[in-house]
Amino acid sequence: MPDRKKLTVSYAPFWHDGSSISTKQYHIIAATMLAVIAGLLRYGAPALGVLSLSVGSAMVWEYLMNLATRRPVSIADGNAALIGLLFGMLLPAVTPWWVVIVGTLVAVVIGKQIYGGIGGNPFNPVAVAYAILMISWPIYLDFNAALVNYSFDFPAAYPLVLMNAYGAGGIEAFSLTDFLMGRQTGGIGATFGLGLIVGGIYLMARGFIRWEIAVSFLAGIFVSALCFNLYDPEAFASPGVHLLTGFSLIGAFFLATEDSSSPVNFIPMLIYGALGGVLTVLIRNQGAHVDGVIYAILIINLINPIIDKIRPKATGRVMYHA
Amino acid sequence: MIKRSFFGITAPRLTYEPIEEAFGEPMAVKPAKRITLLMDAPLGKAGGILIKPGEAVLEGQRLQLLENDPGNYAVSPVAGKIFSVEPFIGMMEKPMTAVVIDVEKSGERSRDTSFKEAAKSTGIKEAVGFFGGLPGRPDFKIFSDSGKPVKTIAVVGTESDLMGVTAQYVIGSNIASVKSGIDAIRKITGIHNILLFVHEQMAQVAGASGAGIKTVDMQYPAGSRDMIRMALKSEPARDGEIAFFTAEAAASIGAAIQTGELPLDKLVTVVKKDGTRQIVKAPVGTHVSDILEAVRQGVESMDKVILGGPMTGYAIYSLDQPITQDTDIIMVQDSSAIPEINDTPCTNCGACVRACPVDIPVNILVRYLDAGEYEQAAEEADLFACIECGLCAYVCESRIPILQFIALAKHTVQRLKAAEEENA
Amino acid sequence: MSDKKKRKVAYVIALVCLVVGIVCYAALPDRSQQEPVRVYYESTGENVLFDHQSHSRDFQLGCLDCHHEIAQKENGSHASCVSCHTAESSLVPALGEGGLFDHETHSQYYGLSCTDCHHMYDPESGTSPQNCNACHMETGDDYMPGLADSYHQQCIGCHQDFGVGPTMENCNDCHGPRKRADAFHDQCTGCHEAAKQGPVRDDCMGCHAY
Repeated sequence: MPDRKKLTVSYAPFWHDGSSISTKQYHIIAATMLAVIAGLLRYGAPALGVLSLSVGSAMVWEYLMNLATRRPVSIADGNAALIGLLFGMLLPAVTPWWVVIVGTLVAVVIGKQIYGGIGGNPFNPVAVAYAILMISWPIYLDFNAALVNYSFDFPAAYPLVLMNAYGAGGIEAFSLTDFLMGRQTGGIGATFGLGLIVGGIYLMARGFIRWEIAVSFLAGIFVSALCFNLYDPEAFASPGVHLLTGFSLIGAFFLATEDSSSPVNFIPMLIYGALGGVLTVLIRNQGAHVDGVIYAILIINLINPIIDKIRPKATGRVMYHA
Repeated sequence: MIKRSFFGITAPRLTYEPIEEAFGEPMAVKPAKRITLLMDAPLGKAGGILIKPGEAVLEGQRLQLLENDPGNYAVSPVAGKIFSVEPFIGMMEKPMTAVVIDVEKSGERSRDTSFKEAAKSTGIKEAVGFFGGLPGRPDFKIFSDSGKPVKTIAVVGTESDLMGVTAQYVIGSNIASVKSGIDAIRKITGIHNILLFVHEQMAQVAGASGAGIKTVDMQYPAGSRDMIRMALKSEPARDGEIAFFTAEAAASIGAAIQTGELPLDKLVTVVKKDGTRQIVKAPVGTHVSDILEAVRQGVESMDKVILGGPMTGYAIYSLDQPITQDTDIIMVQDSSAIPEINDTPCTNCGACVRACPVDIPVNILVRYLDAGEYEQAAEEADLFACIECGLCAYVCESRIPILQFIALAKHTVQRLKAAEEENA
Repeated sequence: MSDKKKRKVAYVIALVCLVVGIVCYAALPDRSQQEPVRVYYESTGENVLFDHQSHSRDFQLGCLDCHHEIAQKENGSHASCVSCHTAESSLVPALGEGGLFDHETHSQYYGLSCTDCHHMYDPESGTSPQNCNACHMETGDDYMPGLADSYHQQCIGCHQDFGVGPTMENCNDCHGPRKRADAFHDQCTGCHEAAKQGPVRDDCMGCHAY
C-alpha cells in the first residue's frame, strides 16, 4: 500500500537559527539611524537628498547589474541599500547629484557586482567608491568647500584639516564632547560620535558585526595616536580626538567589519583591526591625506586573505588521515 | 526550532534535553501488518541468498542474508512469513536489502530458541553471533579486525542528537541491564578498561554500572561519538583503538544474558510537531506510520518526518520506512516550521567558523566544495576532520546546506579513492 | 514573507528613495547666497577657509571694513588678508623638512599680499603661483638677493648662524651625488634627460637664469 502523502525531504540539519543575510543588513541599516537622523537634523533637506539618492541609485545599479548578468534580482537582501546608505553617510551634505550617482555606480558595480555579487568582493565597496571619487573629484568631497554656505555654532573647518595644518593646537576650540555630540563638520552620518557608538555597540552585542574587528580597530587608533601624542603633544592630537573625528567611528563599526572583505578567525581579526587603526593614524599624522580611514581599510582588505590563514589546526585531524 | 539568541556575541548554545524525572513507562507499539528489516549488504545476484519470500520466521530468529557472509544478519523481532526481499537504496546511494515480513496475526508467540541453546551450551562467547541484530546495534567487528588493538571500550550513554532522551531513559530505568551488559562485554572481549559516558545529571545512577564514569557536557555536540573519541585520544597515555557501544546496546546484551531471550524492542523518542516527547517501545523494523499512529501524531503533505534528531537525522520520503536498530529519535516537523532555504553564496560572515567544534575553516571549505574541488578541500580545508554535527549549516546566514556538501564531498572522495585502489 | 513580496517592498523602497532624492535636489536651489557664510579659497599653498561670521562677531568688523568697493561703488577688489594678518615666518612643507619661507619679509618689506602667492586657482585664465624667479634675478643687488643666494639662504642661513652642518664653503655637502639637491634636480632634469629635450643637468642656466 503506497503512501500517497508527499513528505518534504532534505538533508540535515533540520533546524536553523533563523539568521539570514537580509536580517543582518536591515539591522545594520537600523543601527546607522541615530547618526543619520543627527545628520539630517544638522544639514536638513540637502542631506536627505544625498542619502535618498544614494540609497535609491545603489539599488537601481544593483537591479541593472542583476539584469545584465542574468542573475536573480537581489535588491531585496538589503545589501545594495546598505552600501548606498553608508556611502551617502560619508559624503558632505552638499554634493552634486552626479557625484552621488557615479559613487554608487562605482560601489555597486566595480566594488561588488563584478566579483559576482554579495560575498565575492575583496574590498569594501563603499571604501572603493569613496577612494575613487576622492582621487577623481577631490573638491566635491572637501568638507570645507562643500559646506561653505552652512552657518554653525561651532568652528566650521573640518577638524582633520586643522589638525593636519596646525597640529594639536588647531583643534583647541573643540572639546571631546563636541565631537561626541556631532558638533563638528564632516560627512552626513559620520559626525555624531555618540550615535555611531551606540549603533556599533548594538551590532556587536547582537553579533551582526564581529566585535573583534571594531574594537581592535579603535584600539589601534588609540594606541598609535597615543604614541604620536606622547612623542610630540604639540604636533599630534590626543588619541581621543583621533577616535572621534573623521571617519574613525563609522570606519570601525560599519566599513572595516564588512563580511566579505574581512577575516573570520580570532587572531587575524585582531591583527586586521589593529593594523587598520594604526594605518589610519599614520596616514593622518605622517601622510599627505587628511583622513586615513578609507585608505587604511582598503589596505587591510588587501591583506585579509593572507592574515586569515593564521588559524587553529582542525582538532578532528587526529582522528582521520585523509 | 531554536532561534538565535538575542545576544549573538557568543556561539550558539544548543543543549541536549535532560530527561524529566518521571517519564513513565514507554508506550508499547505493535507493528500493524508488516515490518521491514534493513540489512547492510547489497542483494547480490550471485546467488546464495538464504532468505526467500514465503518462508516462515520465528520471533527472535537469526536471519542471515547471504550464505558466505555471516556478518550480515538480522534478528526477526516478530513471528510471521517473509513477504519480500528487495534491494533498497540507503543514504548516499548505499546499496542495502529490505526484508519485509508479514506479521503473524494469531498472537501466538512462537519463539526461536537457538540463542538460548547456544548460550547454554557454548557460553556467551559464541552468542556474539546473535548480538548484532539487537536494538542499539552492538558491534563486535572491530575486535576481530586486524588493525590496532582495541584498548578502551566506551559505552555511550549520551544522546545521539538534540531532543532525544532515549539513552538517558535506558540508563535511568535499566541500569541493571546496562551493568550486566558491560560485564558481558568485559567477559567477551577481555578488555577491562570500560568507560561509561553520561551527562552530569545521570552520573549518580550510572555509578551502579561498574564501569568508569565520565561525564559529558550538555552542550551539543559534546555527546557525539567523535567528540568523545577526540576527548579520549587527547588524554595522555591512551593508545590503541576505542570500541564504542551505545548504552542501549549494552542493556540489550545484558537483558539477553539475564533472561536468555533476545530483547527485540527498540526504544525511540518520538518528538511531535508541538515539541512534546513520547518514549515508544517498538520492535525493530516497525514502520514509522504505525508509531506515529500510536502516538496520535498526524502527518500532512509537505511535512517532514525525520529519523534521528534535528541536527544529524535524515528525512524519510515515505511513512512506510522502518525504524532500525539505531533509530533513537523520530521527529515530525510541520511544513510551516521547515526553515526557508536560499541560494545566496557564502558572505564570509564567519558564523560557521565560530560554531565549528573542531575548528575547521568552514568558510574556505565551502568555497572548495561549491567549486566541486573535493580533493583540494580534503587537502587544504580539513574536509575529513568534520564530525558532521551540522552546526555550521544551522548558523549559516546564507542558508547553505553545508553539511550536505560535506557529506557529498566525503562520499565522492572516498569513492574515487576506492576506485583508484581497485585499479592500482 | 515570501521572496516575491520582499522584492516588491524593495522596489517600492528604491522608488521612494529616488523620488525623495530627486525632489530634494530639484526643489531646493543651490545654497549659494549673495553673502556667503564662508569663502573657500583654493590655493597652491594651503587652502584658506574664510569665515565671515567669526570676523564680524569675534573681531567686530563691519562689512565695509574690508569691502571698500561697496561704499565707493568701485570695481576694485577688497582689502587683502595681509592688511590684518601679518604673516610670520612659517613652515612651508614644499621646501623640505624645516624649510622656512620668510613670510614676514615678503609681506612687510615687499608689500606682497597673501593672494599674490596663495592665489585663487582659476582654470580659465590658468594663473599659476608667483615663481621665485619673478623677483629674484640671476644676480642680486642690495635690495633683492639673487635667486641662488635667496634659495641658499633657506638652508644655509641657519646653518651658518649656528655653525653646524653644511656651509657655503663645502658645496658637496648638499650638491653631491645622492644629496638633497640631487634629488631636487631629478624632479625636473630626470625626465628631461630621459627625453633628451630641454634643460639637462649641466645646463644650469637653462633653469636658473633669465
